[in-house]
Order: sequence, then structure tokens, then C-alpha cells
Amino acid sequence: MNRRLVVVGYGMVAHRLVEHLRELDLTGDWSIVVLAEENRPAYNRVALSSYLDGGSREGLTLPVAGPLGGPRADLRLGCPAVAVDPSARLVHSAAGDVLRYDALVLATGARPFVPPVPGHDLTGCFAYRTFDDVEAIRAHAVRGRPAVVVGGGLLGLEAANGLRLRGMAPSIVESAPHLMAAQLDAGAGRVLRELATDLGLRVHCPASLASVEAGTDGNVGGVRLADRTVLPADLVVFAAGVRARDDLAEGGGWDRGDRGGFLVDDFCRTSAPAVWAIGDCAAVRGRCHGLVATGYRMAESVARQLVGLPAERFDDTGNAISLKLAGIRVATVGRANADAAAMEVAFADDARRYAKVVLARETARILGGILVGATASPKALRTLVDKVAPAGMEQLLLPGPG
Amino acid sequence: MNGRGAVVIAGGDPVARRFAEMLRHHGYPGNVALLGTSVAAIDRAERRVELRDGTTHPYDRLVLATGTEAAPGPLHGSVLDDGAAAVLGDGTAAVETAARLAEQGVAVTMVCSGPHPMADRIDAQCAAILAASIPATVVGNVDLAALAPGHVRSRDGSRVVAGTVLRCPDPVPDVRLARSADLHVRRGVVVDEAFRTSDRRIHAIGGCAEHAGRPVPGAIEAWEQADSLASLLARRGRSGRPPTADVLRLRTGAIDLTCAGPAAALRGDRTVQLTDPAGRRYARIALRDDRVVAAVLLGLPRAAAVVAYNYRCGRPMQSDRLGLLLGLAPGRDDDARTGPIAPVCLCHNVTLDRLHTAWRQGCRGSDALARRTRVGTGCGGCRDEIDELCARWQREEAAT
Repeated sequence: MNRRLVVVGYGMVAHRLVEHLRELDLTGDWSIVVLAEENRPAYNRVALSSYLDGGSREGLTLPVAGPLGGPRADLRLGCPAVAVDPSARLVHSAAGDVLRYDALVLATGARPFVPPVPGHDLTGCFAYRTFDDVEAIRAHAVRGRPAVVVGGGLLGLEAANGLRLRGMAPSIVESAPHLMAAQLDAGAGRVLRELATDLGLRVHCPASLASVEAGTDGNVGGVRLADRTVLPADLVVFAAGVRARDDLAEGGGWDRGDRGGFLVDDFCRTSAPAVWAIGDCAAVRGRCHGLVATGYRMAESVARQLVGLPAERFDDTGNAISLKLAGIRVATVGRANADAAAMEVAFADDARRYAKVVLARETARILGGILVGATASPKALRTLVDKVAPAGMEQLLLPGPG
Repeated sequence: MNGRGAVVIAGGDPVARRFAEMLRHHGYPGNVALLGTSVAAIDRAERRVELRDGTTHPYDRLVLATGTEAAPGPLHGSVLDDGAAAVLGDGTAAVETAARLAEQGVAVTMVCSGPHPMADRIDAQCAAILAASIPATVVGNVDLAALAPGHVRSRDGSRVVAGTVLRCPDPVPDVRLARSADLHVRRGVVVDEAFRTSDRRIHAIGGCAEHAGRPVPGAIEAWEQADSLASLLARRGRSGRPPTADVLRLRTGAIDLTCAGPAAALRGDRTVQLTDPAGRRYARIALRDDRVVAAVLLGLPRAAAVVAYNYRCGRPMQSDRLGLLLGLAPGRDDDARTGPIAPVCLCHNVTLDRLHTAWRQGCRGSDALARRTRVGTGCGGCRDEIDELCARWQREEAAT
């Protein structure tokens, strides 16, 4: 029996779904149609800053195990879905095709959030999400000139570092109390800030953006902060978070999370039969997760469900991040913040490196932690998870002379 | 009487008597006069003190031990009729009072001029755990001077309702005598490491002295100041002991708080911080070359004793600081850091044994392994390790 899976979107998570399904579907049960909005095959979005640094486009393209053009796997680039009719199990594409599906996976991703401040649409303002965005930034960047990145999260730091490597002098503007506030605690954020400053990134945090100001040529000339500080800038990059792309929910009649996204259960199932949502567009039990590793787990879970294998229930405690920003390690492992049943121990060296471990209160077993700077690898911490904190833990996590 | 060698002690601080005893103990040869509170003025030019009865006493060295001024009593003292009390003050006296009231079942609100109690000693996290231990509600940043009976109101307009309001300011150094003699005074009489004031012939110890920027030493520290100065004077300027270490210990039924060293040092070098709000425990220890330069410990009496002892003696701390804090056994380690289930690639959760299996099935080299397992295709942080593993397996294969 041959069944048709339609995948809407072809980012990293959709790519993972397709590849994983092709790996698992040994009997050739499924034929896959992918409706991709962008005009290029799936690429490593996480590594986009390397492209800013002059890396090649090919180097970022994600590998595929087999051809994506035949009847078994039909990738249609530049052909986004525009409507879904779940009662008839039909998808309408922008090219006018109408596709019947046996299973539908929504992987529409997210769009960058651009704060609606005056001047946000001046020439010289860019989002930071797609190849096209980064290509435009590359074309606009001028060595030695100032730039501003709005957003001090993972993406903002990547963008700022990319601009720095391109020879620009970037400042980061972040409104949260510390950098990477979604993943890190205050102590880790403080150390990260010190290290980023050492690299030459200027950090304004906490600081909120009031407006983007035009220069004499009418293009971006700088930004104004709420405290009236003016930062000169030839270009402004918005990396201040994303919003799930859930527009298809309108016609499809699916439930959405409180803050957007297709509402799904622990197995990524939407409220419609045979329809899943994965990645940035999925609100698992109401909450969107912006990390690719989380999206990958969703993709793998859905692939297993499609071939009838048991799938694990979604668990958001293992949302590890592991980032190297021009040599600065920033990583979280397991549970990075304590709840009422946990306690924390943090080891730090003169605001230059930081290792925090979350421990179960009763047993002193390790639940997770945060590492910033020249610490041990996250792997070393990960292998300690579920074990009683060893006697040499401090020296293990902060090795060598302090 | 010739004043050469005569030590005159002025003030009613209990440390004055201790100092006189220690001078004798060290065999000080000159006259020692313990004049208590009868001293009315200092004549620095003539090197003599004037007493209230008009007589004068010459000195070679004058030691001020004027102590602290009496703390004001309740602002509005009445029976705790509604079982609630507001305690006004920032320091240890306020914390102790709040704790004693809470022990008796009184609902306590601490009203502080700083952001939280003891803000010169502890950070906000520690203060939150301290308040929960008492237990007390904290209202910070209140202009205490502007408060009047029945009008306990913070700057943001919120009001503290309490049947009783207790004013518990920290004791204030009694600097009247020093000030009238034009000695350098900040909060207390400013002294150096040898407890000298701005006049080399005048010393100050105990409650009135401000040593290392901190006025009103604790009882133990004041005692040590008396011993140190006595030893210094008896040996004609040669100190047998290092300057005293500053350790504050605050204990009530609900609280066990130890602060050692200057709070400013809590940020530098290696720091170890434990935060356990549910267990009402907190510790922050700052170390340099394994020696304690400053520490704050709350709810950890055993560890506090060890840390304070090491701090006083300048002894290095054990390497297993966490074990000390949590009371964990030293031989507790079980080691699985390099086992087969150790992940090599965190991005894709590829374990060592999955990689090895792929290798044995013919995936030779990092590219082949990546195609099979996706290892190294995320952040790329493990690529060096993959190359090393490949080289090792290659060698192992060649060897067999």
C-alpha cells in the first residue's frame, strides 16, 4: 500500500523528518511530497553566521541520503502551501496544485520578530533568519563601520559575531536583564557578557530600543535607546526572537497556543486527524520551542509514528544548547535551572568562566547545568547527569589553573 | 607624674578592661590608667586628657574604647495585640529581633533603608533565603528617618500594617570624644592596622573603632583587637599577630549566618556558590589560591565552622568544597565519564558505541560516520574527537 505524506516547509526540522522517515520506511510505504517556500534545498540555519563570515553556500546545505525528485520523494522548491482543508485531506500549493494526503506534517517554522519601533523598515535594517537575509547583510556590510544587533539571545550573538568577523564593529542591544536570558541564569549571562566584550562586541544590556534613526542619506544611521543613548550604525540586524508561522491554522481550523503556533500534544499531533506539527511552528502543550535539537526530536518522533514504531513522549527537559561563539563556550545540559526540589552550585573564576550544576535536594544527584567560557565540555557534564556530584566536580568542570 | 610610657584608656566599652588586662599580661612596664567614662576632653597638644572633675591625666599613648551609643527603643511600643510587628532596621540587631519575634508566632515585616537586611554583607539571593528562614516579609528602600508612629510607609506608597513597630538600628559608634579632639571620623573612629587613629599617639579599639572600613566589630573581633594592640604596645611596636580577621556570626533558633571577610571580595577569583532556597541554605565562598578571602554561609553551621576557621588561620580549603557544604562522603564517586554510552556528539546524541558500531560496519572516516549517524553535523564541536577516534580504531585494527 502506498500512502502520501505531505510536508509543509523544508527547514532543518522538515529535512530531518524526511531523512529519518526514508531511513525507517524500509518497505517503501510512504511517498513524500515536500512543499518548500525557499528556493533552495534545506540548509544549516544554525551555522548561517559562517556564511556571513565568507563561508560557502554549499558548505551549509544539509546532506540527503537519496534523490529528492522522483515519485518516492518529491521536493518542490519555491512552492509554499497556501491552504489546507483537513476535512477533505487536501493541501493547496502556491503553484495551484491540490494534493491529497494520508498524513500531513506542518513544519512552517517561524518568522523573525521585528519590534514595531519607528524606523524599523529603513534601508539597512535586516532580519536574520534565511539565506536571503544573510546574503543581503553580506552585501551591505562595510569593514570598519558600526552595526547594531537587536537581541542578545543565541541568534543575536551569532549575528554580532558574524558581523565582527566581517570586519564591522557591532553593538548588541538586549532588553532582558542579561544575555541569552531564555537559556542562562544571571551568573552565566554576566560571564558571557564579559567574554563577548573581550572579543570586541559592545553589549548594551538591559537596554531597550526606542527607534531606528535615519542618516543624511535616508538610510539607517543609528539607533536610539530608551535612555536616549544613540548608537551609530550602518546596518541594523533584528534577532529579537521569532513568532511561529501558523497562518495555515486560519483555514485549517486548528487550535493555536496562547502565544501562537499549532497546538499539539506530546506526540506532536494537532487537533485534526493525521496532521502533525513539528519544529518552531509547533506549540507543544501550548509552548513553542525555538531550538533545533528540540525540533529534531519532534521530527524523529513523528517519523516513528508514521511507520508504526513506538515513539517517545515529548520531554522538554533535555533541551541542551551547545554553542561556540568565536571560542566562547556556552552550553546547557539537562535541567539548567533549579525548581523547588532542586538546588544549585555554581563555580566561577573572576567573571571569566562559569559552571553551574543543578542537583536534586535529597540525593545530591546531578540534574543538569550551565557552562560558559573555558570550562569542561558539556559532554563531561552530561556524563555526570544522574550521578551523585563527585568529589572532584569543581576541578573537573573548571580544569587547570584558575 | 611623668607621662612617658603611660597608657591611658578612655571609655566604658567592656573591651577597655580586657585591653588593660592584656597589657599587664604582656608585661607592659609603664603606668596604665583605666579612666572609663570620666574622660571629658582630649588635649592633643599637651598630650593629656581632662576629666569631668577638672583634673588632667598625661599620656604617652591614649586608647579610645568609647563603645557604641545606646540604641533607641521602640518607636511605638504596645502589646502585640494583632500578632503582627514591623521591625525597622538593616543590621544584625534588626534581624535578631525579627527572628525572636517570629519564634513567638508574631507575623514580622522587616522595614529596611537598604534594598534588604544586611545589604552591606549579603546579596539579594541570600537575603531572600534569610527572610524565608525567619520568616519575615521584607520591605526595602524605605526612608527610615521619615517614619513616624502609625505611618510605616515605604517610598512606593505601600503600607506596612503592624500592631507594634520596633526600631532596631545597629549600634552607632560613640565618636563624641574623638570628634571633639578633631580625630578622623567616618562612621567610627578611623584606625589603621595597628589601631592608630589620625593622631599616632591615640588608638581606638572596640565598638567606637572603624577598622578596614567597618565600624562596630563583633564581640570576638573586638576582643582580638584588644589583644593585638596590647601585644603591639608591650613589645614597643612589634606586632606578634596579624591584623584580626573579620568574622560575623549570627545565630538564633531559625538562623545560622556566618560572614567572613570584606563583602567586596565576594566577587573576585574563584567563587563557589550554593543556593538551596527550599532547604533555607546558601553559601558563597571566594577563594584565592584555595584560601578563603571572603565567605557568607547561611543554614550551614558545620561548613561555616570549617570555613571561618580556615579563614582566620589562612589555611587552604579542601578541594571538595561542595562535599563540605552538603556533608557528602569523600569516597562517593562512581565513574562513567568515558564509558560506551558517553555521547560524542551532543547535537545529535550519538554515543561512542553507536559510532564504533558504524565504524565496524564500514563507515571509515568522519564523512562516512556523519552520513550514517549525523555525528559532527550540528555545531561541529566534536569533529576533532571523531578524527581522533577514527585514527585510534584504525590503529587498533592494524594491530590485530
